[in-house]
Amino acid sequence: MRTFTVLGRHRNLLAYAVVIGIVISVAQGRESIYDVGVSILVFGLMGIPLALMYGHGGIISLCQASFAALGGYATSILTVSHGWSAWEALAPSILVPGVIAYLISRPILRLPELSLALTTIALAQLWYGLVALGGDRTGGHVGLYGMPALPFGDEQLGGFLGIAVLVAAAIWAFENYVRSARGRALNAIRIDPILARSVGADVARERALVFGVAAGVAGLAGWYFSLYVGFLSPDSLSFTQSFAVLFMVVIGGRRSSIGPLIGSTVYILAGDLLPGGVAQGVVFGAMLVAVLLLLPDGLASLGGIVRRVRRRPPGSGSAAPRDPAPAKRERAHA
Amino acid sequence: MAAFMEYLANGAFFGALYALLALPMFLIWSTTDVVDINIGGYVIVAGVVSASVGGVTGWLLGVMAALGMGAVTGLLFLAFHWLWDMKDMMRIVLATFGLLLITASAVQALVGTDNLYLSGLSGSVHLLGFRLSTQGMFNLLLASAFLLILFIVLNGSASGLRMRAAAASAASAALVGIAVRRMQFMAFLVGSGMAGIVGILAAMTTGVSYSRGLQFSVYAVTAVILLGLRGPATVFLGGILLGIFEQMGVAYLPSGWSQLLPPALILLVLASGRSHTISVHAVRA
Repeated sequence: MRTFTVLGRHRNLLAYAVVIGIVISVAQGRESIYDVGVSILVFGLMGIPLALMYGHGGIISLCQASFAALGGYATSILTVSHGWSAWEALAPSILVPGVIAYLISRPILRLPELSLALTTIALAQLWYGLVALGGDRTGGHVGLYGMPALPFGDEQLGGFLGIAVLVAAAIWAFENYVRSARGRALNAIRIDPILARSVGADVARERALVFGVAAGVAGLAGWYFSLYVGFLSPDSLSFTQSFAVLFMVVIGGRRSSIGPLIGSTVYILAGDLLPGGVAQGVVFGAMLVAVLLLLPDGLASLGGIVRRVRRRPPGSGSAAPRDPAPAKRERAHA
Repeated sequence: MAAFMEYLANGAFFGALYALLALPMFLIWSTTDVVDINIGGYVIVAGVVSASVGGVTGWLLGVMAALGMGAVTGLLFLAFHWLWDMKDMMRIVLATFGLLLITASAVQALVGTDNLYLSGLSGSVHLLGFRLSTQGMFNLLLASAFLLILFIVLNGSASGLRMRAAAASAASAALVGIAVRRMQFMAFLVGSGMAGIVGILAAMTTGVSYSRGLQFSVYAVTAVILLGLRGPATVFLGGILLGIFEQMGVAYLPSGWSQLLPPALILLVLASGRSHTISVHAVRA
C-alpha cells in the first residue's frame, strides 16, 4: 500500500522516466533526436525552479536565463582561462549565481509582483550589457569558446542521460519541496504574506532561499549548456531566452513539476516545425494569450480538467459554466 | 559648454517621444492596473502604416491602426475580467506581451525588416548660439500640447473625471454608477491613439521597424517609473529626463555603455525603496 502511495506521489517523475526511456529507444543513436531532447531538457531545467518560484511563491523572474549565463560564464572562464576541469567548475557555476541571487533578493523581493518583474528585466539587460562590454574576459559580443566536453562519457547518449538525470533530480526536489513544511509556507506566503508571518513563516528568508536556489539550478543548466555547446556569447542565454523560459512555464503549467517540460517541448518542437520567425511569433504570441486567458495553470492542468469532466454525472450540464459567477466563487474558496 | 547645452536640448527632444509615450502608459496603468507591454506595438504599427502609405492619409491610417489594436487589447482585458476573478494582473501583462509578439511578427510579415522612415521637418534652427533640430522642437511642442490636452480632459471633462474616479477606486466608482469597465476600455483606446501619434513622430525622427516594439515599451515603463506614477506631468518629466540621460550617456560614456542607462535607472529607482511611487493606489491624476 505504501509503495502505491509513494508511486502515486511521484507519478510525474515516473511519467518523465517512461518518456525518457521511450526517447532513448526511438533515438537509436540519432544525433538530431538527442539534440532536440537536450534543448528541451536544458530549458526544462531552467523552468522547473521558475515554476516553483512563480507558481508556488508568486515570485516572477525574467532573468532566469541570465543566471544560467552567469553559471555558463563561470564555467567557461574557469575552464578556458584557468584550465579547470568540467567537474571542478561545477560547484562555482552553481554557487556564483545562487549566492548573487540570494544577496540581491533581499532588496528586490520586497517589491510588488509587477515591480519585481520589471526589476528582473532590468537585471537581465544590465547583465547582457556588462557581458557584451566585458572585453577579453567574457569575449565581448563574440563570446568564449573552447570549453572541454561534458564529463558524461559517450558524447551523444551520455550527454542526453546526464541532463535527463539532472532534470529528474529537479522534478524530485520540486515535488518534495512543495509537499514539505517549507513548501506549504511558500504557498502561504504567496496567498497572504501577513498571515504567513503571523503563523511563524520567515517571509523574507523563505523567498530569498527559493530565489537563490532557483538561480543556482539555472547556473547548473548554464554549466551543462556551455559544455554541451562548447561556446557561449551574450546572445546564447539572453533576455529573450529568459522570456522563453517564462513562456514555457506559463504554457506548460506554473504549478506543476513537469509543466515546464511540457512547455519546453511545445516551444522547441513548434520552433523546429514552424517555417520562420514570423510564424513562430504569431503562433507563440497567440498560444500565450490563449493559455493565459483559458488555462491559467497551463497545459499540465488539462488532465485534471478532463478527469473532472469525466467524473461529472450525465445530464449535469456542460463542462464550462455559462455563468462565470459560480466558478469565481469556487476559486475564491479554493 | 555649448556642446553640453546642445546635448541637453537634443536629449529633451528625444525625451519628448518618451514623454508622449509615457502618457498613454500612465493612463492605462493607472486606470486598469495593467502595464500594457503592447504599447510598443501600437507605436510600430502606426509608424510603419504611416511610412508605407505616406502623407496625411498615412497619418490617419496609422493612428486608426493603432486604435484598432488598442481596441483588441481592451477587449482582451475585458475578457479576462469576464472569465475570471482577476487578482493576478500579471496574467494580463503577460498576455499583452503575447499581443506584442503577434504585432511585431505581423509587421515583419507585411513590411519586412527594414527601418521605415517618414519625411518630417528638415533643417535646424539657430537659437541663442545653439543649433536645434526643427523636428525635435516640433516633437517637444506637440508632446507638451498633448500633456496640456490630457490635463484639461482629466480635470475638466465629465469623461476625464469618471476615468480618474475609476482609477482612484474602481469599487467606489462602480457604486456611484460609473461604468468602470467602459472607462478602462476607453483608457486602452485613448492610450493606443496617443501611442499611434508617437509612432508617426518616431517614423519622422528615428524610423521604425518591427523589432523596436519592446524597446519602445521598455522606454515607456522606464519613463513612467523614473519619477513615480504620480500624474501626467510627472511621467512626462520622467520621459524628458530619460531622453536627456540617454543623450548624455551617448555623449560622455564609453561606446556601448549608454545602453545600460535605462535598466540601471529602473534598478536604481526600484531598489532605492521608491517602489511605492509605482503603486497604482498612489495615482491621482
